[in-house]
Amino acid sequence: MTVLITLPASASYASVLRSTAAAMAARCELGYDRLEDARLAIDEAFAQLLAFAPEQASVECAFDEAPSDLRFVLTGPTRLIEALPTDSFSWTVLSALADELQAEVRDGRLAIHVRVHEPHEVSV
Amino acid sequence: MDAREQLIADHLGLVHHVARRFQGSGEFEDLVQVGTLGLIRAVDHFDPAQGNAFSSYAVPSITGAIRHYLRDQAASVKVPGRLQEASARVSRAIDRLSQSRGRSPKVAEIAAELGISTDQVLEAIEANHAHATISLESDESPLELLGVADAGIEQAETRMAVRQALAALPELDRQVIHRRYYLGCSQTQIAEQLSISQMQVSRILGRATRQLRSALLDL
Repeated sequence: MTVLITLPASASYASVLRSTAAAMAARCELGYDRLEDARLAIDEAFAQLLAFAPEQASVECAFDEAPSDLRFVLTGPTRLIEALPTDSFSWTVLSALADELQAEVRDGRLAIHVRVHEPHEVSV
Repeated sequence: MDAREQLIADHLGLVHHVARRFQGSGEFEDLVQVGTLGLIRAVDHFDPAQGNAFSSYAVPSITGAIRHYLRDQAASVKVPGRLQEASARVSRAIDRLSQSRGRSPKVAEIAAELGISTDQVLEAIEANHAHATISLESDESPLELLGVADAGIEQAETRMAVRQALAALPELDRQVIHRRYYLGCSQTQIAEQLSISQMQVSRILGRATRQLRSALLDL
């Protein structure tokens, strides 16, 4: 199933996304530690969109629910012309939290795709 | 068990003893947990060459950790008592179930274990993030972990900024951040390694990540 949310590009709405991500992770039957990873990842992805969003923008978030597998895509207008920088602390955080991660800039919009699944592949 | 672990194990009774003196001001298990962190700090900083008994060195460290925690708690956002209690029960259930199953439990499993609804578990998880976070005083000594952290960061400029922002965090926060983001440990593993609850790990990660993010944006 897919769940869609549209919200203002304002940091004060981050809590809405965090709570929704936690509830969706529970629906996907992720373990508690992966649920918390999803909660952190959406916060970080949202912060990345906000960092490059024009004024008065809104952000869309689509959650895709599958057994042991949560995906979400955050999309919104962006001032970025080229790719999202991947040498930032935020990107390091997202890379560690997500099992799959992808960012694309196209037609003035930035999309960040995140996948968190079970079992957690520990990278070390 | 190495000498360090042995020293910690031998003095857990001391932590209980100190924690009991503060009983009533906080959840006993939480007091023991932060007290244990104080003990670990004492083990890591103890110098036998000074000629003092370990226990006389450890007690102020344990007491300090608990005082600091209680101070933090008092200053925190007030979460209703009912929710705080539920959150503590959920926290214990997560750690118990992880132990018995060898993996982090699902929300439905936590709910079944406690005989509550999944929504109540989610509510407790949200309440956990509204709590004050246990943070031990930042010590000024440069940590070797910062050197390791460099390996994960390529760009010189970012590395400097991240290094500075990390240095401003309390030691426990730094440890959690480093282990999760640079060593790739799971939150469950970090809880085991640092002898804290999984909910504490999540709480610290959430707060410290946001703190780092805002520090880095200001640079």
